[in-house]
Amino acid sequence: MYPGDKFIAPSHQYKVEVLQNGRMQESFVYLMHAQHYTNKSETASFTGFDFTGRVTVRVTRLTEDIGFCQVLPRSRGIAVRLAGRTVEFELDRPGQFSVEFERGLRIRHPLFIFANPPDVDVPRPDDPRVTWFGPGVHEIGEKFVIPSGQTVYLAGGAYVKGQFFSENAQKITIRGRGILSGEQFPVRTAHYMITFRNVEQALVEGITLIHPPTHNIRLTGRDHVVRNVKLFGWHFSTDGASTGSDGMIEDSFMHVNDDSIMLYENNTSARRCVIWQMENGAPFQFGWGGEEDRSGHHASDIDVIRVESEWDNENEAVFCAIHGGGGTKSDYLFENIRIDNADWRMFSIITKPNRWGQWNPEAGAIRRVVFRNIEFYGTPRIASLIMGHDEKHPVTDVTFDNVIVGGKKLAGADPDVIAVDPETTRNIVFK
Amino acid sequence: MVIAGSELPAAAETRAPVEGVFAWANPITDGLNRYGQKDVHILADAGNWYLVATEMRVPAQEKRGLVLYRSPDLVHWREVSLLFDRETIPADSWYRDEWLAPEIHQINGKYFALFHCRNNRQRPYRLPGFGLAVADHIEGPYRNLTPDRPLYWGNNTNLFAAPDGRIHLYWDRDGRIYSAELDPEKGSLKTEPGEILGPATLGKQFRFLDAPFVTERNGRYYMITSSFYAGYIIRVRYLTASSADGPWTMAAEPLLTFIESEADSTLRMPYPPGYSFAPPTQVIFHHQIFRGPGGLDYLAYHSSEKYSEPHLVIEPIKFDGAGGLVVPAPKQPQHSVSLP
Repeated sequence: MYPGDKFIAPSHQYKVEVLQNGRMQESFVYLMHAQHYTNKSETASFTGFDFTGRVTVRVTRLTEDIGFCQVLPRSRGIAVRLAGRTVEFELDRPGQFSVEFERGLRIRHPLFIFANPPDVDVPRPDDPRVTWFGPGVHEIGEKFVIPSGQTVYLAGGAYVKGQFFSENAQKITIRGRGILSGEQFPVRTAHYMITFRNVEQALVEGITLIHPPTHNIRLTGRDHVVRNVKLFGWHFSTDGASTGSDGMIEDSFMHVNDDSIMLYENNTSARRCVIWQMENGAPFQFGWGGEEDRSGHHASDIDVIRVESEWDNENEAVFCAIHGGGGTKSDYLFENIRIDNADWRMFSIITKPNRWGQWNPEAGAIRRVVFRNIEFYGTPRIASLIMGHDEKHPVTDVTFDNVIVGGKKLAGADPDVIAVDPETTRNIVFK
Repeated sequence: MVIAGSELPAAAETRAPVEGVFAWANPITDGLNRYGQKDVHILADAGNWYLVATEMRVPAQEKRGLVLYRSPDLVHWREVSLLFDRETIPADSWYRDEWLAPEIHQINGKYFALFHCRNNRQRPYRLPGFGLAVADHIEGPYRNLTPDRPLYWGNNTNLFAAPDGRIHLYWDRDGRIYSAELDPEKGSLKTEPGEILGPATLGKQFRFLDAPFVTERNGRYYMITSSFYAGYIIRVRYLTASSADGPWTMAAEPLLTFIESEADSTLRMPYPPGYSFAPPTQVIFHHQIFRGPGGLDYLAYHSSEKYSEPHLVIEPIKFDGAGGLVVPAPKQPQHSVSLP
C-alpha cells in the first residue's frame, strides 16, 4: 500500500480493501474529474498496491447500490462476488483492471485497480546516483533534467508536479510507485511529461502519470523499456508512449485521449498492456509521416478494454496508419489482441498526405502487415479502410489471419465491413 | 428534412440598424445549418447575398446535397433551394457524397456552381473530384456539366474570372496548389492542370497548403491560402502576382493567425444521444473575399472553432494600395462599418 494524502482528492465513489492471509488493508483511492466535455467518463478513480501470491480485492461502491459488476480485461476471466454495495474478486498475479458497475460502452465512473508486482531493488535515498522523491508533493518545473547514469525514484505516495527531460544521455531510470502530474501546465502548450532525446537504455517503470498537457512519454534513441506504467490523459494529444528504436512497452496501462502505443521508429515491441482508448486517437498508431523507412514492430497479448471513438475521422480506429511521408513502413505484426468494448472502425491503414507529414509525391508506402488472432467483441458501426493514396503510395501485403469481428471471421473485402481500395492496394489476404 | 432554422442563442448583442452603417455580430448563425458550416462562399446577386458551404453532417446522416442560402442583409439567412439532391442522384454516380467547398459564380449571365464530391461506396475517403453545373438563375435549376466524371481529382477549387475573360481554376491537392483554365460553356478544361505552388516554387516558405482563393484589384492579383503549423497554429497567408498565371510571391507576414487557445469550445446545440458534438473540424483554412454592403470588401470564413460547430464569420478587409492586404479588426465579435 502507498500513502494517500489530501494533496489529491480521495474518491467519493469507491473504497478499496485488499485482503491477504486474513489481513485486510485499505488502499487509497484517487479521483480525477474529466477535464474536457468530450470525455465520456465523468470521473476516473484508481488505486494501486504491490503484492505476491493471491489476494482478495474488496470494492465498496459508496454512492449507490451495485446492480452489475464486471472486471476487465475480459481475457483474465475474473469472477466477481456481489454482496450489497460490496464486490469481491481474487487476483493471483499482477495486472491492471477496470472494475465496472455500469453496462455499455460509456462508463461514467470507472475504477482502476493497479495490482503491481513487488517493487524490488529499491534504490537507496542517499545514493548519489539517485534522485529520491518521497511521499508528499514535489514541484520540479517543466524541464527536470536527468543526467546519464541517474535514477529518479518516485516512492509510493510521492506526488511530483512537473516534467522530466534528458538528452544525449545513457542509462537513466525513472521508477517507483509514485505519481507524476502535469496539472500545472496549460493544455497542449508544454513539453511531453517524459521526454528523452537521443538517449540509450532508459527505463521508465512502475509510476503513474496524470493530467498530461500533451504526450505522456516520448523517447527517442534506442533500447528503452517502459514497464508497468499507468498513463492517464483527458485532453486531445495526450498520447501514451513511444520508445524510439528497439524499445519495449510492456505490462502497462493507458487511458489516454490520443494514440496509445506509437510504433514509430524501428523494432518497437509492445506486450501485455491494457488500453482504454478515449474518444480521440488509436490504440496502435503507425504514424502520420516520416521520411525514413521504418520496420519491425510487434504488438502482442494486449487487451484493448474500451474504445470510445465516435467520429468519422481517419485516426479513429483500433489499428491506425495515416502515412503521409516519403518512407516505407513495413513489417508490422499484431497478434493475440482482444478488443473488449468498441463499436467503431477497427482498421484504418492508409497512405495520405496530411499536415503532420512531409508528403513526397514519388514515394511513401505501407507493406507487410499481419493481423493474427485478433478478436473484436463488438460490432463496428463504421467500415474499416485499407487504402493507398495512388499507385506510388500503395498499401501492400496485408494479411488478416483469424481476425474475428462480432463473432465472425473476416473473410474478404466488404464495403460495409472492411473497404479495400482495389486501385491502391495489392495482396490483401484474408485467411 | 430541413435542417436550417435557428435554435441557437444569439452569439452577441443585436443592435437596431442605423442608416449608412452595416453592423453585425460574429459568428452569424441565423437561418444557417445549426450543425455549422465550413468553407463558406458568398456571392451578391440582384440585391441579395447567396451562400454555399461545406455543410457539417447531421450526426448519423448523409449530407443532403448542395444547399443554397439567401440573405437580404448578410445577417439573416434562409435556405432557398437544394441545388443537388443526393436522393435523386444514381447510386453509382461519382458525385454522390461529401459536397465539399462549393462556390457559385456569375459568368456572362449564367451561374456556375462548382462542388467537390466522391462516391463513398466506390471510392471511400479518396480525393474528391471537381464538378461543375450551370443555371440561368442563381437559385436553379442547375444542369450538371460533369455527370460522368469529374474534371479532375482535387479539393478546394476556386474559380477566378480574370479581367481578360480567361477563367482560372486554382485548387489544392496533396498540400500543393494547382491551376488550369476552364471553358465554362463546354464544362471542360482548356489547359492541362499544373502545379503552381509547392516546394520547388516556395522553398523554405512551403508548408502543406490549403484552400486557395484568388482575386484582383487594380491590376494586382492576390491569392490567399492557409497552412497548419505545429502547436495547432493556422496561418492564413497571401501571395501576390502581376498576372493570374503568376509567378506568386508570398508576403512575409501572415494575413491572420489562429491558435488553439482562441478556439471556441462552446457547444451550441444539443446532439442526439450517442453523439457528444459534431466531429471536430480542428482548423480554419478556407477564406474568401467578397463584395459586401457599400460595395466594400469583406472576408468570409468559418469561425475559430476547435471542438464546437463552425459558423460564418465576416470581417472587413482592405487592399492597402501597395500590394498588401489588411484585416483591420480581426476576430472581433462585433463589427460596424460606415457605408460610403
